[in-house]
Amino acid sequence: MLQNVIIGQYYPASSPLHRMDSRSKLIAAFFYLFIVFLANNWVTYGLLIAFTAVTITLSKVPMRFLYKGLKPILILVVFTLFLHVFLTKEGDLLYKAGFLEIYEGGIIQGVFIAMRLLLLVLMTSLLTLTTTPIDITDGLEHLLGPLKKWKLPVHEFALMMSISLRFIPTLLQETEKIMKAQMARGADFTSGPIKERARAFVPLLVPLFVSSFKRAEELALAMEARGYRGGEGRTRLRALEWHKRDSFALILLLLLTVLLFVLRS
Amino acid sequence: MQGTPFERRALHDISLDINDGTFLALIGHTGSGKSTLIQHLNGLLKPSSGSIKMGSTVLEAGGKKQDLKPLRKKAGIVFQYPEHQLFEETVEKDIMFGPRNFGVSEEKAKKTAAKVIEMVGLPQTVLEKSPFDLSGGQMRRVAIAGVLAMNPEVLILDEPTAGLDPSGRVEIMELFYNLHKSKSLTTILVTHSMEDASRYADEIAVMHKGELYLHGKPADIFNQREALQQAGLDVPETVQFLMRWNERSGQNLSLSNFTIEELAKQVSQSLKKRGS
Amino acid sequence: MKNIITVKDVTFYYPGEETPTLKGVTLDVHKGEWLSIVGHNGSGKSTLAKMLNGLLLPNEGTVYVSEYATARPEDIWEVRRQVGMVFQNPDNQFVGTSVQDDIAFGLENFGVPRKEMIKRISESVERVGMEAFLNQEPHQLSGGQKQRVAIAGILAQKPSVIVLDEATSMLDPIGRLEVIETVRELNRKEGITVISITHDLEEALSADRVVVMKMGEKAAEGIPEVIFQQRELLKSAGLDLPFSLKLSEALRQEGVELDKGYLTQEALVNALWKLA
Repeated sequence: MLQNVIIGQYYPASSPLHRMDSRSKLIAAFFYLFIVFLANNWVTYGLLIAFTAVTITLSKVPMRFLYKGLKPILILVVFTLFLHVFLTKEGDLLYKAGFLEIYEGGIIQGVFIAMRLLLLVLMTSLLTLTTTPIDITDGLEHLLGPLKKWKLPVHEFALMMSISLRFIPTLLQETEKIMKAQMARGADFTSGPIKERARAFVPLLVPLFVSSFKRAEELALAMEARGYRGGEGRTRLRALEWHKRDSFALILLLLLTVLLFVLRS
Repeated sequence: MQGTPFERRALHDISLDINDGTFLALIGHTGSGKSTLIQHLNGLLKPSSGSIKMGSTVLEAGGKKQDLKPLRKKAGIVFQYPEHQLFEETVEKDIMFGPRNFGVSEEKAKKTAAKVIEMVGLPQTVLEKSPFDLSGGQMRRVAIAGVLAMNPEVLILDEPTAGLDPSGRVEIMELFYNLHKSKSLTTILVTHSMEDASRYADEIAVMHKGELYLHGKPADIFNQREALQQAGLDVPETVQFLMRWNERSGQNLSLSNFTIEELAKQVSQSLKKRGS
Repeated sequence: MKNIITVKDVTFYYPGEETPTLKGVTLDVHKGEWLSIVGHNGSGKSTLAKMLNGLLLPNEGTVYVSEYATARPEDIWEVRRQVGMVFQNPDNQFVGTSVQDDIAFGLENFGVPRKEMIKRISESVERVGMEAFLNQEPHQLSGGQKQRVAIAGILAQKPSVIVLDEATSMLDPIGRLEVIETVRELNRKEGITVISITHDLEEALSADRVVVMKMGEKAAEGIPEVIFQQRELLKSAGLDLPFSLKLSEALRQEGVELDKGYLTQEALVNALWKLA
């Protein structure tokens, strides 16, 4: 049923990775996006794979869950692999059949690029698997805090995010309710040609929009009644705590970067 | 949801026959399974085991996929807060939505809309308006008209008066009761209110923890006050008062129906007898 | 008795409307009382509620909470801290992603330091009996539980008044009882003033005082025993009559010589027994 959908892909557990501050995880994931591109030979890729493997083990997230997150992009990875295998013409020719030529360089290049993609996705999934959406929002709000100076609505953005997260399950429940009501009136959401099916969703979408507007209005009033007046002078219950392990993790990442620089060809 | 961590048995081993033309009140607290039960009646939910028979249509557990439209046309459901399902530009179009889905011609559906709007006590002029310009109470009536327009034989009402003020509640319940009588419908009313059940129902079914807890004529149900209280319910106020009076006076009065007028008649007659 | 809220000659027009929604309303709310405000839809009772914490400001007249005026911008935050409001729809006032986040929302707005916040959250969540739910998400809670969280959020702000704006009208009987019992305890034990906008008869009956609103004006004000004798007034206010009062009336029509309408079953049985 719709109401059982888990938001985001957070995997609840208590691991060193789960306990890390969302800020350090965000910084690390962002940083990782860049250093992945430093690897260009077997040693550097091996290093990255080892680092990622250790991180995965530390996260206590079962492979099954990781795989679920990877599935949608697996096709892309395989596609990239083949693209490089067939189109790169470097190194020794390994195989030839008609106009199809496979070179050693092609295979290496293909594996590297596919690996790069895989590592990137693994690491970013780990971030969302070990951090709740609301913690990610908090982390982002803190990290982007300095941008407030340039009149960027960082607080408003974060509040918007957290209210959206809060209302996703509510809206899913409501969607199910309205769907059932329209089905009882003979609506059909599951069969028929695409064009008609799109039209079939009007009886679902209009009531959803109407009620969402009403909700937004009432919520704004309730917030005002509870003394909301923007981000100025607000304190926070949710506190982010930077521990030694966070600094340690970032230092480790720096070390990895230095190593990658040294060992890359 | 079977076999997943979300599996929860909402209903268990329910057998219930509802005769043609019955007004059945389905009573129970939130989570007792009453809303789940009525959704089985027109195929919005399918049983994990057992079967549902409505007229000539049979819905069986594990049965093959079948066209549910005839069933849904036969059994109209008015959901809680039905005004939340309105979506069309005009009231008329919204009422026509159901009939059109069931293959009624545009012309005929229009005629039906004009007919049902009067049934729910709204003037014809409302048909041209946008449903979103109406008051809350009017919107609910339009939504009810949308269900009536399908000309159902069985009318299922899921707490149709929730959120209304007392006079609105009485108006809507009277509306349904009159329709039940004049169109000889079979009506199933899901409610928390023992008062409504005692006033309108021929039969009462009490749900408790996903099971059919009690079922019978109102008089039989109200004889089992303790059992009702165990399910967090109670007898209607007229019965409560009668019990108080019987206890105090040592009399053994009974009611032929559960209206205040009947109660007043019984009590006044017994007073007169004592006086004479 | 000391006044906690003073409403004086308040007239209010919604922008673009010609007729005022509130017309010269004057009302004193006593410290520590339970005041029920009843009235038909559109009688102005909800508008009046929104005047009490400055969500709406009067076009004419004044509203004071202790010595703070809702119309003075420098007072408004203190007014909102002191007068907490529970709205009708439990879902649409739950801001936080979890129970404790939601209770914290008001405190965060008022700049309460984090340490103090944690203390106040655990204190207030206990007073509404929701301490076992601190980390639960809103969609896992029932309507009554959500309303109790809303009350906890208000309590954490150390308010002097709680306004219930039809806060129980969307709840089932159990949820309604949960919320009313919670607030009643706060009212009796801690002396928090309660203003309840309601259609619920039982609730109005047990209030210290009742105000009846009609067409934007205060139609009557007094203790329930007096207000509930005025049948026509209550009917025009869209309020149902208490069962015992209706029965008293029906008995009188049957020729039983009751001296007045009784509000409780017990009182009515006693009066009848004396006649017998």
